[in-house]
Amino acid sequence: MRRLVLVHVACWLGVALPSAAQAQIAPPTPAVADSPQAPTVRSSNSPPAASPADSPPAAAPADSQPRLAAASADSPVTSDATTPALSSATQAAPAAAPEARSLFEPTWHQFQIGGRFTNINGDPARLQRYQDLTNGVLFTDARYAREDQGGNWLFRGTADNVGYRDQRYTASYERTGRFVISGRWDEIPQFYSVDTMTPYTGSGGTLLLDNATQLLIQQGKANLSAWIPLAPQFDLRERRDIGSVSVVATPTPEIDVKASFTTTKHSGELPWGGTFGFGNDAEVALPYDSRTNDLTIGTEWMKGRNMLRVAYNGSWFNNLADTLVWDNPLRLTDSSSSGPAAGRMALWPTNSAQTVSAAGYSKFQRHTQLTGFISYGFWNNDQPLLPFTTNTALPQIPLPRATAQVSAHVFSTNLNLVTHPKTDWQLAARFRDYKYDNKSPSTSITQQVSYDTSVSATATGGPDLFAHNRATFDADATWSGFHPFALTAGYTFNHTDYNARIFDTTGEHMLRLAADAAGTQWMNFHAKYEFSDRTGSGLDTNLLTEIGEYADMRHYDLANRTRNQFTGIVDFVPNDLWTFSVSAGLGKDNYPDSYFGLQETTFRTASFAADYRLPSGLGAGGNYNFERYSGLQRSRSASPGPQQADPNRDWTTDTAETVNYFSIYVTPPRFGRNTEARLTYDFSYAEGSYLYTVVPGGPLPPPSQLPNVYNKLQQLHLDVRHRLTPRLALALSYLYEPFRVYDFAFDPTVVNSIVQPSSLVLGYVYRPYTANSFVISLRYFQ
Amino acid sequence: MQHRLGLAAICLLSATLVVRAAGEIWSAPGDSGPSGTADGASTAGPAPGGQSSGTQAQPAQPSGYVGSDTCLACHSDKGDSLKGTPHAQGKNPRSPEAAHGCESCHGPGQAHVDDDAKGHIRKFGQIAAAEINETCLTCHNRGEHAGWEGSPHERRKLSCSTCHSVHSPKSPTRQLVKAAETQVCVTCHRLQVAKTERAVAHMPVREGKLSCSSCHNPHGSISNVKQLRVGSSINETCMSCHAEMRGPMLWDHAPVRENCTTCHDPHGSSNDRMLVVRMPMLCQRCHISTRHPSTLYDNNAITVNKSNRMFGRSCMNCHQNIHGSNHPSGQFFLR
Repeated sequence: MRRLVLVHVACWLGVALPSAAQAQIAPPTPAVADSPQAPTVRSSNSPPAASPADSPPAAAPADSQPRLAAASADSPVTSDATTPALSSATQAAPAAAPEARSLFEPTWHQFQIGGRFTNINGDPARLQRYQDLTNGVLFTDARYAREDQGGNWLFRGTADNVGYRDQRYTASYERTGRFVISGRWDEIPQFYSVDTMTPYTGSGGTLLLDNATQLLIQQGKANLSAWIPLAPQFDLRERRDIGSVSVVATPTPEIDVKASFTTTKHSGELPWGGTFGFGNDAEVALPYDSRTNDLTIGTEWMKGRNMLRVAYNGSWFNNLADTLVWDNPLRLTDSSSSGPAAGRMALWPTNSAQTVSAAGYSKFQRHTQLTGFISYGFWNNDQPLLPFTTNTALPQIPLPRATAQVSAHVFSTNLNLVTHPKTDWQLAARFRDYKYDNKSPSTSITQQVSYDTSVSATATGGPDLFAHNRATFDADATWSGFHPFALTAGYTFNHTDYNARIFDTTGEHMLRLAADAAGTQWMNFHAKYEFSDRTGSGLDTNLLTEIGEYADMRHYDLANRTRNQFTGIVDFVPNDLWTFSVSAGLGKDNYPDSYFGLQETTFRTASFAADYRLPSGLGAGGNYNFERYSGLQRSRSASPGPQQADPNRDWTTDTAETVNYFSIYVTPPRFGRNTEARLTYDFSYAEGSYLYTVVPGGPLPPPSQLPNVYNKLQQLHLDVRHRLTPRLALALSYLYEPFRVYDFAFDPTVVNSIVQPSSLVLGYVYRPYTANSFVISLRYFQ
Repeated sequence: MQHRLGLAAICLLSATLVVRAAGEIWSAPGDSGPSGTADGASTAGPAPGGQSSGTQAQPAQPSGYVGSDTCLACHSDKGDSLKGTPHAQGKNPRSPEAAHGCESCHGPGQAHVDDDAKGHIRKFGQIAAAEINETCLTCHNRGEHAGWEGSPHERRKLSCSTCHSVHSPKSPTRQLVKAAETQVCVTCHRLQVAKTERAVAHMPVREGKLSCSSCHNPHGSISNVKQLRVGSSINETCMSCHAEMRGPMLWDHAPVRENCTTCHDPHGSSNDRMLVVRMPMLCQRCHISTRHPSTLYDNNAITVNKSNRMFGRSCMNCHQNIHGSNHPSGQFFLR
């Protein structure tokens, strides 16, 4: 099927493109020209040719500065603004009737109605992870705008994918210069799997199993496999429904008053782990039902050289299903030695955050600006605490208090100063302070119930009150005397204080050098090198050993680290036809003092892109990206006792990921006057490898290496539009999308049943698919 | 110490603003500092309204200005291109149309009209980025754009017209030089945009539900790092959508509390749940206690002795509440 499609596309392009090119260079029909700017032949994608007096022949277009590099192949781009070099060459031709606008150019009076036909061979959930491509009537891409003749008001509305799980609507009404009211309704689906099966039933936060089967397994008369025939297939989905409304009022030209309210309902089911011990874990479809409301109110005053803004943000997360109770697949009754009949877990707690903030800036002489920001936030969770266990056969440990009473104060300040003491110099300095101040009371929890199965002592005597205070000072100097280059040298110092982390503080010095060239009409250049060195102090290894970790472990988010990284990108625009782009990046993080944990990470990236565009409308381009990431980490496999001190039990993991991404697009010129097409093709191949290494001759057996994992995604989009009348077009869209994947953790040969050793799972796997999706529709536009 | 320094800095800024604001509020009309065009000419107030959409009657022009009608005599296409855009809203006192029309941005036109070589006018294709920015920032100096000065894009010498086009935008909103926002960002940020295309785990960018500007403000952020739009930290940005993770929790997980990107790649990943590396390797980068956290789980753990530490969601098969637990027995995030 794939070959057939590609052959047809190639034949079509091979015949159609030359025909279209021939049609484009046919002599235009003369038109009346009564002004110096009488247009010559041009495609609908480029404005009229500039007069010689308006711009030099070889100059870039007057209002695109400078020309950008090759576009991605996400969707085909329309032509750039002008191509004056070629336009001037065609100025001698007699003026022609202007062509109609492109059928791919959006308008504010349009909609598309038709039918979608999608054939999916394989996993439909992966294809539709965040979208809905099911068959049916499709009304989409609707845009409507209306304004009064006097320019006093403007209304706009949009509608996409009406009636589908990913539908979206927006509307705005603007009273010019007075206020703007806008609203949005957006549904974002998340489709996990059609392969999922579960014997659990129930609603809300309580998931039940068949009692008889539980008893049989408890009595040893059956095993986990007894659940298989009781587990029907179901689609595992969740969804976010987001509604928002905002108002911006401008009572005077200096003042804006803003208010917005957003409500998000998050519902559905997601895969969730519920364990009863090492030999008994159950994956369930967690019912999820929450609502988050966010309110923002603020005002901004701006006049002359000063701006001042104050705002309040309130956010309330309300979990309507904040407790999960799920039956034990191995037992019907509670036991003090063999586990509970059911488990009970606390889900995300209802919480709130209130923040007040102020910001402003003031401008001074020599293009100097001082900008500041300050905010204070209050985060709170005071949900009732669940009992230590649901197992009635175990002693009930008294709660430390009835509710969580956990809270934090968050204080943030930013100060930014930019000045230009001389024409070719820019100096900038920034200070930032962010403090997460944990205000939770110290809580003594010396015992807990593990897995609702057994009482054990806690490792730390109670929760750690994690907190941090991060201060950053940054300064840089930029010299642009060597036009068009701007050379920058900068320094940053990060200082962070921690509470309950293995280091009391970390300090990081960073040096960066950058070179930028912008503002030329033939080249853009950006390059940056960064070196940083982070060091921790106040190491407390007790925080590691008390929870059973090795004293030589270092957590990589604050461990001593040196970092070197370079990134650069160059765009060449040698003429109005071609654009070339090259970028590269490489970097390495070393953790020299981390005996255990992450040792180093590296990245290497490169990309090449080219765009070609004729004034006739023919455009094509390609882009290739290469990425490679790697990480090395060390661990020690040991049981408690003498083994812990044996370095011969060390092992390392070297993880690597390589990604190759390739895309092309073709924007052919019109076929005749009424037919246009766009073609894009994307190819992505990612492969991950994991290499284990043990000490030669050591007590650990040579590892059986993991297989590489990979995923490969291709997308071919073809869109053809044919004008039937001045306001109606026939639109044909085709998507061809094959996806191939292998991941040992989710492979159907590994997760080959909902019953696994010691586990009852949902059967969620990674499967390939091949999709063909057609949309045939009428497109109305004005 | 950092607190005192921050407070002192804010007090200094506040005092500066108060003093200057007092001067602005109590100054006589027209005494405010130079604004408008880069040549220093002040921008006149809005012309009387009541005109047709996008145009207004030409008041008496200050010296050096000729009025938009004169400009459109030769550049009618430029006038047409503004129709329906905010720059042509004559009824909006903040728009160029309400001030000097074309000359609000391009400067006084009399010298250009008089010049046979048609110079003496601000041509945005030929001037330095700083001058372009200064022109646009004359009006775009609040709200979304208030953080431009000193922002990463400004420091890297980008200009407003690098991403935006007033006269020939390709996007339906925001007047971008490309049809879609990601096409603009990808010209420099190829790596990040490429990650949003990851097949296994990605933000819903290619499905059209999110865009780069959903999280980032490309004009700079006054309050946050990485030009993030919301909140004062990376975590606050993430939690603006993922509020369930905000907590605080009774039992917090330290990397969750401090930085989501310790474990997740926010742009996309080839690992489930957008993790920077798959489990159990990710967890084993920080947890090396005896027995199962530090066990070497090789291919035997998925074939010969299938282990729930390797198949499916790995460590999260048991440690599900990894973002923190509100359960009294939740120290190891099992409850």
